[in-house]
Amino acid sequence: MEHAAHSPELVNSVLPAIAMLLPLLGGLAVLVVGDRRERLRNLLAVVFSAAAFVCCAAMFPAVMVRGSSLTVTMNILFGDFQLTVDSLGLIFALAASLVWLMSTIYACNYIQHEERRTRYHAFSLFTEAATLGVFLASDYFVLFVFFELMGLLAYALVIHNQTYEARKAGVKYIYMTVYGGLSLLFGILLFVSYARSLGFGAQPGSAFLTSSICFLVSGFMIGGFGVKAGMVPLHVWLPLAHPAAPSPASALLSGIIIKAGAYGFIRVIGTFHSGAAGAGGALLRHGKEAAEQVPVYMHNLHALGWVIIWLGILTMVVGMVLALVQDNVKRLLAYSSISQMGYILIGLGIGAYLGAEGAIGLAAGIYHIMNHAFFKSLLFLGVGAVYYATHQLDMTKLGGLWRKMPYTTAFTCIAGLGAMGITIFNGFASKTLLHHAILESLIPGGPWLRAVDIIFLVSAGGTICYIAKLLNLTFFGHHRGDNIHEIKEVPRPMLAAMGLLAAGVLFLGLFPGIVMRNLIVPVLGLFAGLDPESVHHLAGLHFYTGSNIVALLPPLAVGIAFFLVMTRWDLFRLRLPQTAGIDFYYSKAEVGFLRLCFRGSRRYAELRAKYWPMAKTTGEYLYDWWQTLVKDYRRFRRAALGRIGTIPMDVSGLAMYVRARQFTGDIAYGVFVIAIVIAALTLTLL
Amino acid sequence: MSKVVHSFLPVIIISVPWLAIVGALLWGSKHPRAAKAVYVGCTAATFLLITTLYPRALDGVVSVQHIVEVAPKISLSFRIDTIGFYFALILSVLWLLATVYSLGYIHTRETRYYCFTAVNLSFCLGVAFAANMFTLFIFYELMSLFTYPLIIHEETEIARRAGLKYLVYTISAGAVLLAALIMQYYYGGTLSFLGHGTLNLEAVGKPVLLIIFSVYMLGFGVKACIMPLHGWVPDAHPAAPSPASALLSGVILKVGAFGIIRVVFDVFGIKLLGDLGVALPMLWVASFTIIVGSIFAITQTDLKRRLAYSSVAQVSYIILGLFLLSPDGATGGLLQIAHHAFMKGTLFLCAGVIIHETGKRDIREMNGIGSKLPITMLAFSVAALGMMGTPLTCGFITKWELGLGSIQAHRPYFIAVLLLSALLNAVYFLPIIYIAFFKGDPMEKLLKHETSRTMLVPVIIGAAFVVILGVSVTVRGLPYSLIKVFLKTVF
Repeated sequence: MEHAAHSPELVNSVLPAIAMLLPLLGGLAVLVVGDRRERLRNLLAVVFSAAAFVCCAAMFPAVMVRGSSLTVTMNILFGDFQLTVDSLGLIFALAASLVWLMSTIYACNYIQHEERRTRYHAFSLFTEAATLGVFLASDYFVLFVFFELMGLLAYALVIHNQTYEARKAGVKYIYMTVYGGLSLLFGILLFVSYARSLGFGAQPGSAFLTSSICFLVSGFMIGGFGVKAGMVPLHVWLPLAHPAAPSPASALLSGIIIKAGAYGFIRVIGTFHSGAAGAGGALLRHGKEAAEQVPVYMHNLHALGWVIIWLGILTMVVGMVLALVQDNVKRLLAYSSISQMGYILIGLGIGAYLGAEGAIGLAAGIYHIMNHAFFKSLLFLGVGAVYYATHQLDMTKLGGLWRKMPYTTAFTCIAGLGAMGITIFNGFASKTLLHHAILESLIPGGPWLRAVDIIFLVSAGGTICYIAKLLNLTFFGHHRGDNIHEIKEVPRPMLAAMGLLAAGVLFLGLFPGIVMRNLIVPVLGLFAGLDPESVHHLAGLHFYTGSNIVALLPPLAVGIAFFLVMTRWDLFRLRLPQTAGIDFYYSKAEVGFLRLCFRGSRRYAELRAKYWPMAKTTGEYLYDWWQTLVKDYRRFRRAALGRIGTIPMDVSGLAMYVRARQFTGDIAYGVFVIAIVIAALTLTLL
Repeated sequence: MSKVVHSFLPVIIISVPWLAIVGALLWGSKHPRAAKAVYVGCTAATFLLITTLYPRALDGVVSVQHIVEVAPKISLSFRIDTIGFYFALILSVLWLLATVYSLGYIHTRETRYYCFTAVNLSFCLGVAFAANMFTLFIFYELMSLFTYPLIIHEETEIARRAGLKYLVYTISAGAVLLAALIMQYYYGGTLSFLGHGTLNLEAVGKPVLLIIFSVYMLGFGVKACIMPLHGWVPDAHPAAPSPASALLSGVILKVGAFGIIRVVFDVFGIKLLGDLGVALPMLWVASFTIIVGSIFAITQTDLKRRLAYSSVAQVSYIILGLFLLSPDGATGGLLQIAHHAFMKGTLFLCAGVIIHETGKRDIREMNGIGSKLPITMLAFSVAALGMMGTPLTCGFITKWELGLGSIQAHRPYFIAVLLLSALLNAVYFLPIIYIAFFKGDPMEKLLKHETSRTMLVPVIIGAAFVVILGVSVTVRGLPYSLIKVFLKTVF
């Protein structure tokens, strides 16, 4: 299969628009039905969700097998609003619609115990429409439109419970979404200016591909996407928002919506690769001999990749460390999401760093995105089932649930083992791939990237440790709460949703070869700058080799070591100080900014009052002056009546009044005003 | 040169609102409902008459009507070109919405209010249809004067002070404007709007042109609330009754901006402004107004004062767009006239509903008001999201066009001003939405008591336009296409 330098043929089809609009219509239908007929409303939500998934699946043959791109143009906004599905967009859309379907089925039962159910289902579907729009977008403008809408619509999901915790989370979430969106908008406008195109591919020869301005542009875009992806240091909303949302919504937030950020990263990398599309991939056939002829954009991509790798490492480590010390299951999973996004960013970063050889890094990142979507959403759904049964999220008060809730335990453990990267489960395939990618990058990378390998090992161990802690404290051992007898298994639809996701986890883990060949490798064909040989190599990669399985042992050992050390010295209860987190400094900056605004305007008012009496408008001053004159005159009149007996209506009376009143300042002001008027007239008649 | 057609429509359109006075005289005291029907009817008739000019405007045909010649080359005459038509259209739509809204809001001194509102519409249309600076100046001054009764309508102490401040600012500006007019006539020879600049750099000399430009900016800048000439706005807009505030913020500020548009395109011309080098200072002034206006808005707790400062900031988008001197920048600035009119109009009308139904003016007291007035606050949220530049609303289109314009003008750093402004907008609008919807008690849904239809329908229409103008931008007949027709003659 010749995938490099293969530009997909464009086929007109209305399927992308239908896939995006179906959840929108579903949301409207849900709003119309409302609370009056709950079962009908739930059924509508599930049906429209399923229809969206079917629509995405219908696009599979054309896009993945035949390699064409389906496109549709909608006559809104500037008239050229286009949705184009290529293989990258389709795998994201498929994963998104599948997870959304599972979450909707699950939510039908879960939300029954909450308020404002209609609002939840409606906004869940609207957010799905916007998210599918993000993945089906044809250029950066459409991407931005849907990206912003997705962020704003998901706010309703975050703040659904309207508790104090949810409101605080919502505030932080909305501000960071808006700021991220502005950074992204700036990046896109600069991109238009320097790449001379709005599409995912830059014009050949444009400044974006040939000069270092691409760093500024991609920096802003990465800032925008990074907020959504939970990249450190822009992650501060995630640990608040994901726990505060109801569990099916958390599954969506962690499972899909943060992936939209990663999707943006992949598109940015793809834009760099588009420079090779113009060259027809000629230089790539020389493979490694062309090292001296590396074009500028590949050089820049190399540097960008280095930055992304280190940001990914920071994200991975920060997420892991903070996940280890959490008691609340959902907060633990939120930090775990941050950590796993770090893995993904490392993979994508290596893909960028290695340039033409970067296929393995990109494949690792994309595969882990798919895996994480499945196992993290399943983890959240499982934890939500625990909450549904016990109303408890604190791990110190749970335990021993495996007897009462066997299916939930089984499914959540499958997801947990997937997160740990144990063989057979899906995490194994992507973490192995990632490990290989790191080893590949050691060749050009040298000693710095050796550190990456060690950090990766430690993080993998940490991941195993906290997932084990989660599963152990929640499901096994003996129950530490007080109502073990009232706990029973959750309703069947919720189990069905979890079961299907678990099946997905197992499938992705047991058949990595099929996944690589049919899903990942076609996506890599979009990156024109990749060496076709390395892509071929990936298609034939064997995952279940002895060395790969043995490579699982060091992280396992580290994980067990972590567990023992932390239990021994009770480090699981460690509470890090506020000043260690970057959120502390963000809050200070925000408060400082607001204080500056208030102080600024107050200072301005003070200065005005103190040093600029004339700045008080002439009208106000005249008004006050007139009022004081009137009051003075009235007072004088009353006094004069007492002394003289008649009202002085003549000049002498007025003269007495004038002498009594101190006019000096007022006369000076009057002279000043007249002088200004004369000066203005003179100037005019010049 | 565009085709020129003689037409009686300008005078007719300008005279129709005066029928309100007729209605008031006949039925004002005895049959107020009939009188109100006349008021709404003549505003609607004005709007319909203006829409009959649509085909001509879209084709770029100019309608002229000459009334009387006052002095050599100074006449009272009208000229409806595409940009004048566009402005008149927005004026009449907003006026119609505000008049219908006033039916439910204004209950005291109605006759005075409606008469002055209608006459004000007439004068604003006179500004839009003016064929030369002299006509524009006459109608501009009349409009400024006749806005005073709208501001002091409530006749409280605050309203009187605000009205007095407004008068002093505007009348001084009028005097300054007369000076600018005289200078232009003396040095330029003509006051007419011919579709291109009428001042000549070589003949007149740079210093004098700079003085003329500055004096014009001072004159129109008071109405267009360029800092530091904006002082009347934060007092006048909250003091006026809400439909009048909506008109003030939505269209009357734009009349000042329209004067600046005429100065830029028909007195100086793009090329001359570029040669004079005034673009960059004006861009800095506009940026300063945008940022500082938004910062002041953050510090206000009175809802209408917050919206007033927000208007100060947003009207400077028009100035920013114009002085980028690029096609997309001008498009963004001119689009802002329509977009901000609808957004700020909707916001003020919603604020009026809140004040009318609950009597609350301070944001801190508005907890959970979304349960009581769901549709109103939904419209408020849509308009507020529009101000923040959410995609699918018209605010996003303006920001996008202005961003493209900055790039076209080779000044990409002004995009940062736009984005900072969007950020600050978020800081002062999001708390209101949050307080309204997410801070109350869910049981308050039982207290739902949405306002009357006469006030609700304009609010809904305004919010609908915010979304319509954001989604279907390139539909022929909507502002974008009209502006493109106009800019073809300029660039």
